[in-house]
Amino acid sequence: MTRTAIGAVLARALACVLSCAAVPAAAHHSFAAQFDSNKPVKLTGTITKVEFQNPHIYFYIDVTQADGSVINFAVEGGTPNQLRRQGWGRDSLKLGETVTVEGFGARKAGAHVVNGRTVILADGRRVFGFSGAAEP
Amino acid sequence: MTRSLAIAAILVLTVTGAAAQQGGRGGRGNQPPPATDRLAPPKPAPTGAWWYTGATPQRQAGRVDLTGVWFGGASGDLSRATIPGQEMVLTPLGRKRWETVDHAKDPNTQCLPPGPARMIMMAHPAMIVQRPDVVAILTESQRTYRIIYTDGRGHPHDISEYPEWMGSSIGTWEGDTLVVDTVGINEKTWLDTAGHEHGPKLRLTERFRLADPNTLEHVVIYDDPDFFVKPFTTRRLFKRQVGDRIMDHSCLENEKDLQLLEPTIGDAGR
Repeated sequence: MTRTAIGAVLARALACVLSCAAVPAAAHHSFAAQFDSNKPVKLTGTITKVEFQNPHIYFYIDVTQADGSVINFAVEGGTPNQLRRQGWGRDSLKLGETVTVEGFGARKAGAHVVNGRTVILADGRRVFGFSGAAEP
Repeated sequence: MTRSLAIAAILVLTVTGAAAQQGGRGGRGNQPPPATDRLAPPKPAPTGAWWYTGATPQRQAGRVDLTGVWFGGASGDLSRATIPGQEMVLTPLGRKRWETVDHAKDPNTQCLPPGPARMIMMAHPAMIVQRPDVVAILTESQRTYRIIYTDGRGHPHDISEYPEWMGSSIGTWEGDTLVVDTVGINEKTWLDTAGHEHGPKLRLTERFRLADPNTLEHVVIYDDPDFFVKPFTTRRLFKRQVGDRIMDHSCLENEKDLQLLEPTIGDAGR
């Protein structure tokens, strides 16, 4: 990649950090058919797997519960192509890294799946600028 | 002797040429061309390249050229994109289907083709390639495509019996506007993500034109007497994208949502 191209990607990423929070990513499914806007969640855990794939990216975090047990949550994000155009990639999240995810829980009972809206690293940086499927 | 030498020389040249061809880009021992990042157009742009370099696009042989990569953002509800006086009015059947549609059954969620107009209403850009006899629309969305014949042909005689996910499209030029007539659209397609459906009589009349060199206007008349009291018209704008890259997209690659969807009827899913 040329220096110009790298600059263009970085500029796009910066522009996105500033503006993408207001831009919903269109889903390949209805938000309401899968998630519950009345179930806001905030989870902190360590990343165990990242799937930067279509039609949505998914990553997985181990979240320690009050009783000491650990539940592995799946977090659904935007489309990989949109995120890639904004300069993010499969290495934007690192295995073992601690993140805090804010979003909404699944409607399906017992499903440990979250529609992630914000992804915040331990040092406060936000990853992906936005993360989500569609507006609730 | 002279003749033998000439034949030998031809043989050597032929064999050498064949070896060079086999070596080509894929051959071992030869360096492949340097990486070309398609996020941005090459500079300087090759003569005749059609992708947007930031310069004013040139007219092609007297006719406007729609060729390029375009993106208009995702559009959820067609009834919000209508033009004044051309609003969508549902028939009793259309109303019933709108109120009872199950969003868990959106064909897009099931990774089925999005249909001729919805294919450029998704969260993915589309590439238009224009030739004198055909205009192709290639969308990143599920890597699907649509062919619009502009060579004067009609629709296949059996298109209503054998409808297609993208329908049958024929186009004519009215000045600098491409007017496209589409019939035979598989009634399993949805018109939008909000869940407007249609029947087998649906006919689309689309008008593509450049509102300015870097803005594509798409005006569509949806005519389906079973679902809509009268034809309604939508208007959307697309911006020309820098570069020639549409990316990979296989909806089934890592599909995890279907098993989590719950029946979601009518407005509950919007």
